[in-house]
Parts: sequence; C-alpha cells; structure tokens
Amino acid sequence: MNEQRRQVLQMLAEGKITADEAERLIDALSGEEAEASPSRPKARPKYLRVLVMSDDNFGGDGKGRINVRVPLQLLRAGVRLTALIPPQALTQANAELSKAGVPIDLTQLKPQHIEELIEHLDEVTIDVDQPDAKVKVFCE
Amino acid sequence: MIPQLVTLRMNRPGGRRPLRLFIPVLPVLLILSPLLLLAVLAGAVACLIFRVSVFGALRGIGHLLSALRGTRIEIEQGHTAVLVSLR
Repeated sequence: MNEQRRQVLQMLAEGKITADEAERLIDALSGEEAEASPSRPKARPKYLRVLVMSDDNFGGDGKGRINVRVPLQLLRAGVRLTALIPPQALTQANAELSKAGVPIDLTQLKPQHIEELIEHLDEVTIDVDQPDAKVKVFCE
Repeated sequence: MIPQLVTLRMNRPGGRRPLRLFIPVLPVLLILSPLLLLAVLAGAVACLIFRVSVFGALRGIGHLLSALRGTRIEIEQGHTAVLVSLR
C-alpha cells in the first residue's frame, strides 16, 4: 500500500472524511497510478535477426556485411516438419552420429522440446565483438 | 498467406547499374503449375514409399511457405551486394 492511500485511510479512521469521500479519493489515486505506469504487454518479437560485419578484405573487394532476418514462424514451421521424419531415418542418423563421435539420440528430441526452445528464443541476444568482425544475433 | 512478391537486387562491381528483379509469386506459380503438379505427385509417391503422411507433409510445406513472408537476406562484400526479400 502506498503512502497516499494510507493517509486517506487514516483520515477515514479519524472521521475527517466520509467513506464515500475516501472511496472517491482512492479511485482518483488508482487512476493516477494507472496513468503513471501503463501496463502494456510487451510486443512479442517476430523475427530472428543475424548481423555480421567484417573488416576482412576478402579478395581485395572491401568490407563485408551480412544482414539476415528470418521470421520466427518459419522456425516453428520447420520444427513441425521434423515430426514427419520416419523413425528408420532417425535410427540411421543416430548410427552415423555415433560413428562420427557425436552420441546424440535424435529419437529423444521431440518437436515440443524444440518448440519450447523457439518460444524462449526471443530473450536471446548474442554479441560477438572481435577487432575485425562483429556478430549480433537477436530477436525483434 | 504465402509471399506475394520476391525482390532480388544485385549491385555489381565496376559501377554497372544494379540489377533489380521484382517477381510476383502467384503468376509465376500459375505459369509453373504443370511442373508443380508433377512435383507434388512425385513427392506424394516418395511419401508413400517412405511411409510419411502425405497430408502431413503437404500441410508442413504449406506452413513453411506461409511463414516465409518477411524474410530478408542481405549480403554485401565491397561493391558487390545481393538482397533477397520476400513480402
């Protein structure tokens, strides 16, 4: 409870104001608080953005810049497609991964897990700052 | 909704005029519809062979195409630049 409300209640308790007046004052204070801190929900990001700026002079052509904007919806659609991969293909992929020294069981990776990952991707910001290159990954 | 317009821009070195292409997706799809039909049939056969749901695959591809709207890829290297934008 803030100080002004407390004062209003104090005045009511002391009989300086009536209950109706106290109600009006509290309503007025609530209105002021709502104006002071509008509780608008934060807009959800729609795009994943990757920015790369390089000072490297590949081939003597000058600086390089990459700017990619991908809708997050596209990532979700891609994840839904993974549900269509037949189990025998996943088994084969697992075997090849194991042979390559990457013991990951792709059958344990469910679309809902990846969906959750994408849901929380909007809070991710990656900043790589090198003297000759900058990489920034974020959602907007 | 699938993208309506694909914009392609290429800045070429040597001070040449940049190449700009505005490709309307729907008319191009209509022109290519016979080929697309063949591709869909081939895809359906492949789905049946690999025991993948044909309707699931079509729905997934539909979602993928409709989500492409808003994609923008821009690559610059010195005087050369390529921009692909889907709107």
